[in-house]
Amino acid sequence: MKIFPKWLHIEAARHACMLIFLACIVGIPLSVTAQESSTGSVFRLGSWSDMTTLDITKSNSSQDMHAGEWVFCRLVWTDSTLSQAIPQVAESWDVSDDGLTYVFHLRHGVLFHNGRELKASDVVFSWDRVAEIADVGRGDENLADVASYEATSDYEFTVTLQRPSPIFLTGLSQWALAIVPQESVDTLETAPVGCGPYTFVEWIPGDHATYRKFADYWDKEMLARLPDEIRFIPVAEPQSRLNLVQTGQVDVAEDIPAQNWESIQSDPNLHLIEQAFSSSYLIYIFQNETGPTSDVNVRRAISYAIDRDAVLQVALFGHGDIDCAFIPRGHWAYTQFDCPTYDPDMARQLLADAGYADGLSLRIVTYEHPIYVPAAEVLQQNLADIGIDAQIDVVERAVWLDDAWRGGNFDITLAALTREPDPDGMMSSVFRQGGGNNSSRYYNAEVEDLFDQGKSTADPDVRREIYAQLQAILLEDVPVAKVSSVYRASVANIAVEGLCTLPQGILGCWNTLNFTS
Amino acid sequence: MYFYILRRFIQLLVVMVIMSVIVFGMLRLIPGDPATIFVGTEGDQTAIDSIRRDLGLDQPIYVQYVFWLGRVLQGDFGTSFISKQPAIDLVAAKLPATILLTAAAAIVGLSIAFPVGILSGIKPNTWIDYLASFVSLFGIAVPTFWFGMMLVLAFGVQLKLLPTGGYVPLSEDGWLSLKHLALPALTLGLHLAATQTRFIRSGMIDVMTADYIVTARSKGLRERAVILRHALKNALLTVVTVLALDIGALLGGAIITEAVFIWPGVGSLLISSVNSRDYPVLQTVILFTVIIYVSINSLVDIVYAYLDPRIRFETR
Repeated sequence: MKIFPKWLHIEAARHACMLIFLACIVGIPLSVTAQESSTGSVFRLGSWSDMTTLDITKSNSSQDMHAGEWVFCRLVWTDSTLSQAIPQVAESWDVSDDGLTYVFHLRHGVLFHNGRELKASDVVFSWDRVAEIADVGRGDENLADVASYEATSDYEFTVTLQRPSPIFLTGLSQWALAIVPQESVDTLETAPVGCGPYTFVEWIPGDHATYRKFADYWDKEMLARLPDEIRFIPVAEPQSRLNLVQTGQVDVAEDIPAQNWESIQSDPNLHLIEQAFSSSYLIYIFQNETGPTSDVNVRRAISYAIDRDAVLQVALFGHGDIDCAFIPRGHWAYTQFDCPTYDPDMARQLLADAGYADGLSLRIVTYEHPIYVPAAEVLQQNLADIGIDAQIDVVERAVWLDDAWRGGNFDITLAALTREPDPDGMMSSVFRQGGGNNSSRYYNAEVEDLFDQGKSTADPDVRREIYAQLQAILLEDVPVAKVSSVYRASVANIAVEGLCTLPQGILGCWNTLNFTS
Repeated sequence: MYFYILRRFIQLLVVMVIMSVIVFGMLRLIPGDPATIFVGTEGDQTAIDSIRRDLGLDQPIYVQYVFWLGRVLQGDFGTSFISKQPAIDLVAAKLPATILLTAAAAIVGLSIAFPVGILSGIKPNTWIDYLASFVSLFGIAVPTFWFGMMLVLAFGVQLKLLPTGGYVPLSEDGWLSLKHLALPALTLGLHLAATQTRFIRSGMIDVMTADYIVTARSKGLRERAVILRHALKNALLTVVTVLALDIGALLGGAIITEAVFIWPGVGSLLISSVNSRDYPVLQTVILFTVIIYVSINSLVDIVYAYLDPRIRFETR
C-alpha cells in the first residue's frame, strides 16, 4: 500500500524530526514563565561585578554594599565625605561631656520588612551578632572602642566607650552594622529581611538582582523620590557598561575608567558621578622579607627610578596627585611629604652600593587590571633604565591573592589601597606586623612603637606629630613606594540625581537619590 | 541498535565518572582558594579558616569527593559558595538564554553556510568560490570579541538600532527578545558559517566527482535533484560531525561572546564561578557540558547510520 515513494517517507520523517527539534529549542526558552512585569519607575544599575553574598553583615566586598544600603538600615547614614553622621533609625543622640556615653533616641514606627517594629533590643541583638561573627564580618572594627551597650528602653539605646573617639559615630554607618531582625537571621543569605527602603525580590547570580520599594518605610519624603524598583545588573566589561549607559539601557554605569571621562563630559545626556576626594592610593609593594628587595638600598633605588609622572599619565590618565604622605591632603593629621624626585643616576648609584652594579632580575606580579598592568609596564621600563631586568607576571586574581598577596611570592606587586578615616586605621593594617594589608611583610620595631603611641592619645596635635615621625621612617625604609591618589567615577544619565562616589571609590549617597522618571 | 544505544549510555556513565574525578581533583589543585577570594585583601587567617570549615574545604579531597558523589547520586549537586542557591538551579536558570543563542547562531550559520558552501563546492575555482573562500577565511580569522564589539559600536552605539547587550526571555517580550538576540546570534552565526562553509565546500567537491553522481546525471535527473539528494546527503557526513562539536561547544557556553553582549548564559556562569572558585557550580556546569558533548556525539553516530547505510552498529 505504498502511496508515496520511499524517499518521501524519509524526507517526511526527517522533517518531522527537524520540527520536533526546533520546537524543543524554541519551546524551552518560551516555557520559562514570564516574570511578574514591573510597574512604575525602574532604576537600573550596571555594576562592575556581581554581589558576593546577600548577608551584608558577613560581606567583605564593596559590591554587596549597594544592596546593603537598600535592604538594611543602621543607626545613622553618613554624607559623601564620610565625615558627618546623618540620622537614620536614630532620630537624635546625646553625647556626655566626657565623650564616653552616647544615648541614641530611636524613631517610632520603623518597620522590618516582615511588618514588625524595630526596637532597641534589635540593635542589641545585631551588635551581639557582630561580635559572634567577628572572624568573618567587618563590623567589629567599628565597635572596637565600645565598652558596653544596652537597650535602656524600647526606643533608647545607650553606648559607653572605653575612650573618646572622633570616628565612632560616623563608623556606625558601616554596612556591617546593619540592624537585623532576630526571627529571620537564618535566611539572611538567601532571603534577607531588613528595615531599609527596599525589599529583596530575587537574585539570579550573573544576571541580575531585583529590589522593590518598601511602602511602609518610615521616611515618606525619601520614599517619594526613590524609584519603585531597582535592578542590579553585573556587567564585567567596562566598555560594555559604558555602551549600556550611552544607549539608555542602564541608568548608571559604575566605575568607568578615566580614559572615557572627557568624552562623557561632552555628552549632554550623561554626567559623571565624581568623588569629593579620594581615599585610595596606588602603591608598588616590595617584598621586604626575602629576595633582592629585602635590601633597603634596592628599594630606595627603585623609588628613585620610578617616573611617577609617567605612571600618572599612563595608568591614571592624569587624574591624580603625586604625594608621598600616607594621609590624604586636607586631613587633620596631614603633613606634607614629597616623593623622591625621578633620578635614574641616583638610583644606579644606590644599586651599586647594594652590590648590584651589574644589574639584577626581579619579578613583578599583578592581575588583569586597568591600572595595575600599565603601571607595572611603566615600572618595567624605568627599571630597565637602571639595569634591572623585570619580568611582569599577570596572573588570575584568585592566584594573585593566594600566591602573591598572602603567599609573598613576588618581588614587586601593586595595589590601590583604601584608607579609613582615622590615621591608625589608614596605616596600621599596611605597615604593622600581622596587619591584614601588610603584604610587603614589613617590620620595624620603632614603627610598631609609634603606632602604639598614636593610639594612646586623643590630642590631634600630638597625634599628627607622631604620625609625621612614622611616615618619615616609612619614606626612609620604603616598604612600599607610593605613586598617587586614585580617583574613580561612575556615569549616570541626567535623570539620576543625588548620588555620589564615596572617598573609597564606591557609588554611594543612596539616601539622597532622586529618580522617578 | 538498542544494544548500541545501551552501550553508548554505559560509556556515557563511565566518561562522567572519570570526568568528575578529574574535574574535582583539578579544581582543588589549581591555585586560588574560595575562602581567600571571599575575604579579599584584608581578611586574616582565622576568617579564612572559619570559611573553609563552613564550606567543608578543611576535609581531605577524597572525603570531599565521596560526599559530593554521594549527594550527586541523590540528585543534589550542592549549593553555590557565593549565592547559597542550589547549583543545579543556577545552571538551569542560564539554560534558556544559552539554548536560545545556540539555536539562533545555528540557524544564522547554517542558512549562510549551506547555500554558499554548496555553490562554491559545485563551482570550484570560479570567482564565486574565491569570494566565498575569502569571506569564510576572514570569518575564521577574525576574533569573535572584536567582531562583536564592532557590531555593538555600529548598530548599538552609533546607529542606535539594536540594544548593545543584555537578554530578554522570548516569553517576556518576543520582539524585544529578538532585538537583543540579533547581534550575538550574528557574531556567533557568522563564525559558525565560516567553518561550516569550508566543510560543505570540500565535501561537495569530493562527492561531485564520484561515479554515482555521473550515474545520477546520466539517468537524466535534474541537476537540482542530483545536488540536493545525491551529492549533499553524502557530503554531510563530515559536516554533521563538525556541526555537532560546534553546537556542543556553544551549549557549553560562548564565554567571550557572552561577556561582550552581557548574555547571561552558561559561559558567563562558568567564568564567574571560575573567578570565585565556586566549586559546586563549576562541577555542575562542567558535568553538564560533558553530558551534552557525549549525548550529541552519540546522536551524531546514529545520524551517520541514517546518512550512510553502510555504517552499521553491530556488537561484537
